[in-house]
Amino acid sequence: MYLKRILIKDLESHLPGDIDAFICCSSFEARCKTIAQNVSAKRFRWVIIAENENLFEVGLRNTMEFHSRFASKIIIKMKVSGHSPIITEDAVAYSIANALSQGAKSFLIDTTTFTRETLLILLNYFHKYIDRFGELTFLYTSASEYSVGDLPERMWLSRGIREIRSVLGFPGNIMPARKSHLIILLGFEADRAARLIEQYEPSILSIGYGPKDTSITPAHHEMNVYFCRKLMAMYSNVLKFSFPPNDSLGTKRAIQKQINKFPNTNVIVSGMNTKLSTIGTALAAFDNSEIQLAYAEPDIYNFSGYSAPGSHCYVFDLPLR
Amino acid sequence: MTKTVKIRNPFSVQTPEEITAKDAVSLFVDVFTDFPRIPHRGHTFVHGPRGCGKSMMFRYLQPDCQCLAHSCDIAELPFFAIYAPIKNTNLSLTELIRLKDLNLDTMLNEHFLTLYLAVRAFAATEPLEIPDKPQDRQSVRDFVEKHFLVLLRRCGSSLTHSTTPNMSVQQLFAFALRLCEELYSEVIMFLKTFSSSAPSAFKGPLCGYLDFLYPMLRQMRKLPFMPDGPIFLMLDDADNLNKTQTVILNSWVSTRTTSDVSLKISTQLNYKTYRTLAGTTIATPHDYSEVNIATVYTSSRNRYQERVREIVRKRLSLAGIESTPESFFPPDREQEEEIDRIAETLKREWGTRGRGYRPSDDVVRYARPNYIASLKGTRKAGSKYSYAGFEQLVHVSSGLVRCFLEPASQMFAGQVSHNGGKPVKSISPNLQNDVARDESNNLLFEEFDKLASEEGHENEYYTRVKQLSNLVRSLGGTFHQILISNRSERRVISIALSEEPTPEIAAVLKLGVQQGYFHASSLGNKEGTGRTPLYILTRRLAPSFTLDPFGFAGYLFVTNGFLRDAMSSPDVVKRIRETGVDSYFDSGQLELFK
Repeated sequence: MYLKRILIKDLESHLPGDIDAFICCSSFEARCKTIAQNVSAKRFRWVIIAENENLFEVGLRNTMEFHSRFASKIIIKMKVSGHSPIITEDAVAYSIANALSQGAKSFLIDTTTFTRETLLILLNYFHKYIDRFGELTFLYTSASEYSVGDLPERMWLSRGIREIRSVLGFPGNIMPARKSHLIILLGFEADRAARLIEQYEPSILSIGYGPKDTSITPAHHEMNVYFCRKLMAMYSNVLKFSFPPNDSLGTKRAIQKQINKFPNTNVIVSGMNTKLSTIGTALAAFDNSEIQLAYAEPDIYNFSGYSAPGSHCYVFDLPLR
Repeated sequence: MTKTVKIRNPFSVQTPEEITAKDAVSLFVDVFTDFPRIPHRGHTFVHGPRGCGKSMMFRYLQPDCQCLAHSCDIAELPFFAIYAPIKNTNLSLTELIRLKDLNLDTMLNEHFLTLYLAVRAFAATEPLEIPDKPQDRQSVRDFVEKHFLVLLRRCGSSLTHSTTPNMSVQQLFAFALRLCEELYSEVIMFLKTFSSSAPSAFKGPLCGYLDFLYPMLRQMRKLPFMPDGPIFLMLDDADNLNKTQTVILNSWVSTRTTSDVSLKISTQLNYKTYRTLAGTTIATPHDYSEVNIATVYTSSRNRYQERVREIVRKRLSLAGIESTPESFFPPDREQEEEIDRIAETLKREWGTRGRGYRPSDDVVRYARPNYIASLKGTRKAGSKYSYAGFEQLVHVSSGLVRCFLEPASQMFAGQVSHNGGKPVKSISPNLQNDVARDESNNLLFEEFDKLASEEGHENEYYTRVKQLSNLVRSLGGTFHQILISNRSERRVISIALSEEPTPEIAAVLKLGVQQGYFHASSLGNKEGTGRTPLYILTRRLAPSFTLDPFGFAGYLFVTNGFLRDAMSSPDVVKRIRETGVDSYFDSGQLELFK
C-alpha cells in the first residue's frame, strides 16, 4: 500500500497521470475545498460531488463553489443523507455507476469531509465492485486544529447522538449466544463513545488511542490522551491499545491484534478518530466479515468551529482487490 | 517497597449479564413483592428508565440464580426463564430497512427474531447442571430429533444434520444451538447481498413463533429436568427492536400462550408501538399486565428506601465493611442538629403559631425548609445546604437504584484516595455533598449543553431541547422560591396542568419525560370530572436548585401561559423573586396531594 504525507501545494506532482473522475464531498468544513482548490481540473472529465441533504447554509455555499469550480466538467451529484444510510448507499451506487457507464475507470477520491458512515459505504462499494475500476487514489487533508479556539475541556466536534446503528454493508456475524467485544478508536469525543458503550454494554471493551509518533500532530495526540483518560475514568476494566491514526493499514493490524486476544466473541468496531483510521476499520472488516462496524450519528456538529485546514495531505491507495 | 492493596468498590455497577449467579444472588434484593406480576405466569411489560434495576431482576430470574437462591434443582423451580437482551448490534441491523414495504419484511424479521430467541433458549442451558443420565440423554435426543428438527423441516429447512449416539445432554443442546446459529447467520448473509433495486428471494426456511418457537419451547418444557411451570422469554430493552419486530412481538403477546410461554418484556419507556400484524393493538389487562418501576418507586418512597437500604447493606457486607447504610453515609451533623432545634421551636410554638393539625405536621412541613431559608444571604463558608446522609441520598436518587449506586461508587473512590490506604468505614459528609451536587449539576447543565448550545438552527428538536432546559430551570427556581416562602405548603416539586396543553407544550413535556427530567403521573382535576396530567421534577435535580428532597407534598397548578413563559426563559424565576410567590401565583394554586 502506498501512503505519503505531502504539502498540499505539492499535490499535483504526487498524483497519477490518468484520472478520469474526481469524487469530493461538500460539507460545512472549509477543509472540503482544500483538495479541489489545489488539483488541476484539467486532469479529469467527471466530478462526483457528494452533497448531504441535511446541509446547512455554509455547506450549500460550498456546494455552489464546487459547481462553479468544475463548471466545465460533467458533474454528477451524489445526494447522500446524514440520517438514512439507505439513501446514501443508493446515491453512492447510482452516481458511481453513472460515471462508470460513461467510461470512467480511474478515480481520485477526497475522503476528508465525508461522514464516517458515508465513507465506509463508499469504500464498501469500491470493494464490492473493484473489478470495474482502474486505479483508485485516495486523499485526506489533515486539520491544523479541531474545535477551533477551544480549550481541551471545552472541545467539541459534535453533540448528542441521534441514533446508533450498524454501518450498512458491515453487519458482521453477530451470534446471539456469544459475548461481545466493543472496540472504539477514540478521537476527541468521549461522550459520544460513552453513549456507544451504554448502548452495547459489551463484555469486553477496548479503547484505542493514537500514540504521539503516529498522530496527525502532537497537539492532536495530547487531546486524544485527554479524552482517553476521561473515558477510562468512566469505566472499569477497559483495555487500552494503540493504533496509528495516520495509517489505515497499521490501524487494521492493530484492530486485528486486539480481536485475536479474545477469540469467539462478537466484534463491534467503531472508528471515532481520523478518516484514515476509519478506513482501517473497513479494511479490517473486509478481511474479517465477522466484524460489525458501528456508527453513532451525532445530533449536531460544531458547524462554526469544527476544524481549520492544515497544510498537509495524505495520498494513498488501498488494498481493495 | 510498598505493597498496594486493591480495595474493592462495593458500589461499582456491573452489567447484570456479566455477574455470576453467586454474585447476583448475593447482591439481589427481592423486589418481587413490589412487582408480583413479574415472576408469575402471564405476559408482562416492565417499563422503567435505564438504571432502575430491570436487567438485574431478569438476571435473578434466570435458572442458575434461582437454583442457587432456593437451593433446589431446575425441576423444582416454578418457571424456567430465558434471558434475551435486545441490543443494537444483534436484531436491528441497518440492512433490514431495505426490506421495508416488501412482503419479505415481516417474514424475515419474524424468522430472525425467532432464531435469535431459539439460540438464547439453548444457550440458557449452558451454565446449568443438567442431569446427564441415559434417560435424560434419550429424552433430549428425542426432543431434538422428533421435535426440533421436524419443526425446522416443516419451516422449510433442508439441513441434513443429525445427532450422534454418544452426545451428552449439553452436546445435544449445543447441536441445536449451532443449527439455529447457522440459520441466523444465513439471514445476515442474505441481507448483506440484498438489493432493493433487484430484490432476490430468500431461499432458506422461515421460522415463526406459532410454527416453530412456541411448539419447540412447549416440547422443551416437557423434558424431565424442566420445571412444571411456564417458560419465561425475557426480552430486555425491547425498545431496541425495529418497528416491524415490535409489531411481530406484539402479535405474539396477543396469542395468549401464557400457560406454556410467558413473555416478559422490558422497555426503557420508548417502546415503538403496541400495534399487531393484524392492525389491532394489544391492551392491558386483556393481553398483558404492565409494571412501571418508576411509578411504583416514585409514589412509594418508603418502599424504595427500604429496597436501597437492603442493597447497600448487602454490598457493604460483601465488601467486608461492618457499617449500617446510615452510619456509612452519615449526614452533616451540624446541619441536622440545627434542623432539630428548628423542629423543637416549631413544636413548642404550635399551640400559638401552628398551621398544621398536629405539631408533627409543622415539623415535617417547615423544619427543613426554614433551615434552607435561613441560609439565604449568609456569606460564611459552608452555609450551603448539605445533601449528605443515607436517607437524603436515597431521596435524591429519585427512584433509580443506579442513580444511588453510581454516585456512591464515586464517593467510595474519592474516600479511598482521601484515606491514603486506610480502610473506608464511612464517607465524609462533605464528599457526599460534593458528589451529589456534581451529579445534579451534570444533569442540569452538561446534559443540556450537549444538545442545546448551538444557536441559529431551525431545527425543531433543538428548539424543544432549549425550551425543556428553560422549563426545568424555571420550575426548579420556582420550587426553590416556594420552599423559602411563607406559604403553608412549601415542599413542591410537581406541576399539574389546569388546561389542555398546546401541542408545543405537550411535546416539550414528553421530551422531558423521555430524558428523565420529569416523571409523568396524573391526579383528579379541580372540577372532579376526570384526571389531569401531573409532572414531577426528578429529585436528582434537588441539589442544583437547593430543594428539600425529603418529601414533596404539594403541586402547583399551572396554565399554558405560565408554561410558555417558563419555556421561553428562566427569567420567570426572577419575576417570582421580585414580586413574591403569593403575589405571583393566585392563592389556591398550591394544593396538597389528596
